[in-house]
Amino acid sequence: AVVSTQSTGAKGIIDQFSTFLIDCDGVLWTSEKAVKGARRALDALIKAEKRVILVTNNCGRTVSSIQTMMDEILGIPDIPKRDVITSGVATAIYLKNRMKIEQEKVYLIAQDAFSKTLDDYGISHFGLGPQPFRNTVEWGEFEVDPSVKYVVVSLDPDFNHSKLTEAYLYITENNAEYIVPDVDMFYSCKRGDGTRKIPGTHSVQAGLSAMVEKAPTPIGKPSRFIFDMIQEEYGPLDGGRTLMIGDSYETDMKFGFNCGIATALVLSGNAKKEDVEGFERQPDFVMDDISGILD
Amino acid sequence: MNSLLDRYDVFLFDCDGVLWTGLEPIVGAKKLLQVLLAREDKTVILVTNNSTKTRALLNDHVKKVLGFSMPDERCLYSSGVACAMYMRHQLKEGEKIFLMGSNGFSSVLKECGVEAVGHGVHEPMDLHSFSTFQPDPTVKFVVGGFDPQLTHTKMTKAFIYVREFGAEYICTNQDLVCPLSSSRLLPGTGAVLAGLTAALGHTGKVIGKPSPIFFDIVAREHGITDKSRVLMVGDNLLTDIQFAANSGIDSAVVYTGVTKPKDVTESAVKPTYCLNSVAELL
Repeated sequence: AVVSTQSTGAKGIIDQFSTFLIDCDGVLWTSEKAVKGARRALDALIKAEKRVILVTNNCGRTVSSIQTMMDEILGIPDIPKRDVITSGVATAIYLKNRMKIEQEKVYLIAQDAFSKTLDDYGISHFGLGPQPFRNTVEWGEFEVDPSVKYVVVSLDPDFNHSKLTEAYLYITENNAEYIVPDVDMFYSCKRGDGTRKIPGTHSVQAGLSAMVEKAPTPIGKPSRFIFDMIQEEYGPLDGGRTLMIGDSYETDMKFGFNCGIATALVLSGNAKKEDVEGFERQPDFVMDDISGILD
Repeated sequence: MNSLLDRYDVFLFDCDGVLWTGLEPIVGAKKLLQVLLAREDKTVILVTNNSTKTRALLNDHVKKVLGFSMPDERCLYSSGVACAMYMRHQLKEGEKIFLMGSNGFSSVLKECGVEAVGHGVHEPMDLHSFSTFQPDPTVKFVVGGFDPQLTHTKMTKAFIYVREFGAEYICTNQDLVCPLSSSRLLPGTGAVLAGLTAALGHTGKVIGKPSPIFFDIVAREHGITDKSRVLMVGDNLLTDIQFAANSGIDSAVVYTGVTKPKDVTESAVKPTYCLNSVAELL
């Protein structure tokens, strides 16, 4: 059901747009289970030959695992690779096509899926996995490899003082570019019938961001980089007929506002109904779940 | 400057940048402490935010650098010791704390009779494994100090204890950096705990400098009642001098550590005295 709308058009939402940018967690699925209405909505979009592009900040999944989830959870077996954009993919494209990376090294603080994504794009990197503590003597002797020109910081279960220090040294001593694929404050995981809120990528970046003076390069939502990148890589989109559908005001809705496109907030994930009236700016549509676009 | 030795009876000293730099003593520090320790009417107390050492190990360091040990271990305080003392009377039988800290801090807690869970390395957990994470219901405090093993996984457990289960969150200190050398800084406790701070929206109750809680704990153990006779000597405006201001005692900044004269000019918090080094107290 559509809870509220800024639109005065008589047409159904699905008819007003040709391109749908859709967030995944909390919109299509939560912890690998389909969200109510998601299958119906996607079937309708495909039947109506709409362009569907998944845009997720979650770089804990590879594109192929998302394609598999679309197939197994939602019955959509053939979403093309180029229509699945994770912040990992966007980072890889940034490094390869924007920065034209060649010999420069990338120090990577991330999960395994991110490293696989960089591998897919032929970008070599190091730093993945656990890193033991180094004491002050070891840090005094640590040689900073001058060819490390990029530091990519995303969610990493192994992130610790040692990785923080190493990242800090590349940024301050090499003037390496500090890249943040996503800055999500929290993630949700399922807990019983509800969700449990846990610290997200921002918690990994907080100490480093406080210590370095330069602002990091943002890649994921709410930065408009992904919107611009999709068009540079795959051709222009009609901004006036593009709708962003997501469950988070801070990432998805602000992304839509930054790109100048229409926005639809679903209440099946992060955002709750009682949050809506407090938003600085109202999304174009607010709905219980993604099937609201069929109304 | 002899009047300073006459004007105060209790001398609180920060350590690094004040009495020594790493393993090098500051010139005159040894002599000053020996003079003060020889006088029965004067008390010397070391107060450091470094929570990684027990009192005994701190004293070993004093001996290594200055050539003698402090005669009374109760005159050595780390922010870790302060945290342990803060909690010890608030915990009932069977109640525990969740610790993010060093081995030294863990030992300090044990010595104080505070039982900790969660210390050390945690098996990395992906986000969805947290669906089934069940905390220990006897945990009443979450305690943050300098933790070389603090990973996102461990920090998430701490977050759940505080946010979902109402554990009280306290920390040793929030120093963002600690200087390794004149050209290299290392992340300090504040940087290590920054992720939890961001997620919770607050730092937790800071027990170490600049919190006056640290002073109250020292004052209680040593029966200090006349604050006007206490002088704090330190090299860091944000921790040492702010600590003195917050505690209602006088302070002296020394220029042998992180602070230089122009920093004092630009600072909102001002020390009572400015000294080139502790040697000037003599």
